[in-house]
Amino acid sequence: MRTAMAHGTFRLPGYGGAAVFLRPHAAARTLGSDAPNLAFDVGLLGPDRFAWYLGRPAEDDFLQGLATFLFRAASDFHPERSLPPFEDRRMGFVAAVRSSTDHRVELDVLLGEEDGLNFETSRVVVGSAAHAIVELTGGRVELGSGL
Amino acid sequence: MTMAYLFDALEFPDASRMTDLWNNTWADEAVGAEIATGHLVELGVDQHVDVESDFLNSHMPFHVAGFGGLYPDGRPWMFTMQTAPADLAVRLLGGADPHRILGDSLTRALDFNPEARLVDALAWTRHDLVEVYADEGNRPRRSRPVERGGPAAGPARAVHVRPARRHCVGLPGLRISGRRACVRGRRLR
Repeated sequence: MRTAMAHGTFRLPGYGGAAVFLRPHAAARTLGSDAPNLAFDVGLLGPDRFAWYLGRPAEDDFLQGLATFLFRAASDFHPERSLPPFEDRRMGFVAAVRSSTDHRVELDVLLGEEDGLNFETSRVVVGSAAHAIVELTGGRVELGSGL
Repeated sequence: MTMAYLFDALEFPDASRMTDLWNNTWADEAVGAEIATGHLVELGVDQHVDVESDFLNSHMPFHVAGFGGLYPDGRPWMFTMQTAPADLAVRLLGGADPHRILGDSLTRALDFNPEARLVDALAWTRHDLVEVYADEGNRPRRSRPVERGGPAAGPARAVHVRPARRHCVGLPGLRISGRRACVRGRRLR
């Protein structure tokens, strides 16, 4: 599936013009570590703003955790009750399901205390986004693990 | 101009399906003459028509309406139409093509979805939009008043409307379905 990814950038779109973008890249050195690490440019888009936060270092299992979270957000009957928020402390990235219907989920995406986005999207899109992460990692992330 | 008419008039391949309709009315209603455009956009494989059309249209400032669906192979598409006051476009762009302001609006929104691809663009004037009814046989009618207590007045007299030259447009990349499909207007590119 290529739905949520183009040119190496992960994209999770929603109703109302909202979208979350994640663009991975190697960081030669990140805070607290001299070793090369995976960092992400995080884009938060709304109908009247578009902000990029660049070079945010992430935990090693960031993509695995995000893919698992999205897969369950798409497939759980009531993810707002059954699914705990996903958090990457190093990046300051938090994703949570606030509400859901049979076809849609309402997501909160926070980036530390700097910025955040609340939007509604389709369960189909969320499921496709989970698969896109699998593709982004060349299959290193598996949706079955961690569930 | 209805969505169903356009879906029928545009040359979509046989077995294409229309699955979504939208009419976003948050923009102020135009006063006076309007210009209009229609843009056919092919979405990325497996992209969700409902979400992507709402996403795209949310980034367009004018009155937007349209429809979307799937080609026979399952690839999604959307046809989005915009209207704007003709004088606004002229005021902002001066002597430039007034339709450009609507095309630029779509191009800007498409930047947020790199997988979406603009396939074709049509431009209409108010004259085009009004005349299409006459071309389809729905001419404006002038009725005689109904006499009180009597039967309805005789057959309405059609007001003569000079048929305009139809401008046939084909949508590149789409298989011609066999029927002659014409949409009045001009291609933007």
